[in-house]
Amino acid sequence: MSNTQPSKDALRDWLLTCVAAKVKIDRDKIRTDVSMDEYGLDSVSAVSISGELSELLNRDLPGTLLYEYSTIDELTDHLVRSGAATGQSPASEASA
Amino acid sequence: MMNADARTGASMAAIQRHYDLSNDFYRLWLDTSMVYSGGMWRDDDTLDQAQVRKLEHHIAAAHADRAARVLDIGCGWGALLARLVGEHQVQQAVGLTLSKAQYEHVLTFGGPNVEVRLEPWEAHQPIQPYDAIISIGAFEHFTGTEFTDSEKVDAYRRFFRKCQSMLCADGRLSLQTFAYGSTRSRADALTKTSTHFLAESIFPETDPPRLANIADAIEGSFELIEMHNDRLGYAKTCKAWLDNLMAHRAEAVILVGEETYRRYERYLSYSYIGFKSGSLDLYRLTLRRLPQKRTASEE
Repeated sequence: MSNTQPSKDALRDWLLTCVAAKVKIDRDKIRTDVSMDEYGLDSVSAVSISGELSELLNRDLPGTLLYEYSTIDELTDHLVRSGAATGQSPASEASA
Repeated sequence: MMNADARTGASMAAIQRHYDLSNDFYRLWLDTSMVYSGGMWRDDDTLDQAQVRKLEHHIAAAHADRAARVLDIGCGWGALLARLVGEHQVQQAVGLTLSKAQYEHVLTFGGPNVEVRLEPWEAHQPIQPYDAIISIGAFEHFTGTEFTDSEKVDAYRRFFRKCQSMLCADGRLSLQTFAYGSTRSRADALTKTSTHFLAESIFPETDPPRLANIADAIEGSFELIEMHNDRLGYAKTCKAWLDNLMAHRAEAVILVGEETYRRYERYLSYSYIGFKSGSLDLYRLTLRRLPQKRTASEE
């Protein structure tokens, strides 16, 4: 895997920060296993985050991504499975 | 304020701004028959199969199989017309469209049993009544965002009364339209950036109905036989279109330019999310014509 790919934990953290900023809710109050729709994430914000994610990962991602995988955990798992993130935590990367 | 009776939906210019963009562009991401409306998906259907299933649903619902005369209001690139006179042996299938590109496309394959007209439904004067009417994905264009709820009902009522006047006794209308979902009010939806984007940059002079508008508007002209909300089927269709568009990005950009490509990518993403979240619904209604009431002057 390329060194430019973020770890799974880093990606989940990035998504959490992004979603919290869009829905204007403290990130500590957002659960990663609850649908982002429930926090009021609208279509414009969802498409905007997909665009930012495309730039972060340097790959063409559909604007629908945050509604195809409704929770941050599901989306992170999908991105790891598709090779966009390493699937390793920072600790395991450090010991590798 | 404009007289409600004078209000109509999207103009020919507004329709052509969207649908006449480029047949080759739409061919890149629609199914092979170029059906531009939500499909009816089962199991592992392909987009082509889902679109055929949808057309077959409307043909069966309208009792159009082997009918003498069938009207298709908003006939698109003619897939339903071709199916009516082909597989279903309809003697005369008439299609109405406001898109010049669609009109000219249908003319190329129509044949003697197909008549396509560049004409609004309000102006259509059939020489004989129709046995069945099918309208898929046109109703959304019959009003704009500036219409009040009451003006929307008036416009839809005029449409249903016109269909009633063109159908034979007990004739059926099979209608498909997307609509505002019940997760939020129309007033709330109209404040959203996505609604503004779709109304200004994708479908000018267009605003979908609410379920209550349709229920109000059919009174006196049609009886509801059956209705389904298949919003997830439309979400799946939008995703298939978006995947196709993204897979043909380079060709699409050559045909319509980068800005338009990005606009369509955004539009299909918003639409997918709208149908997935329930902000938008997709209705298929089977309606049976009621007898026209005689006016006092006719008695």
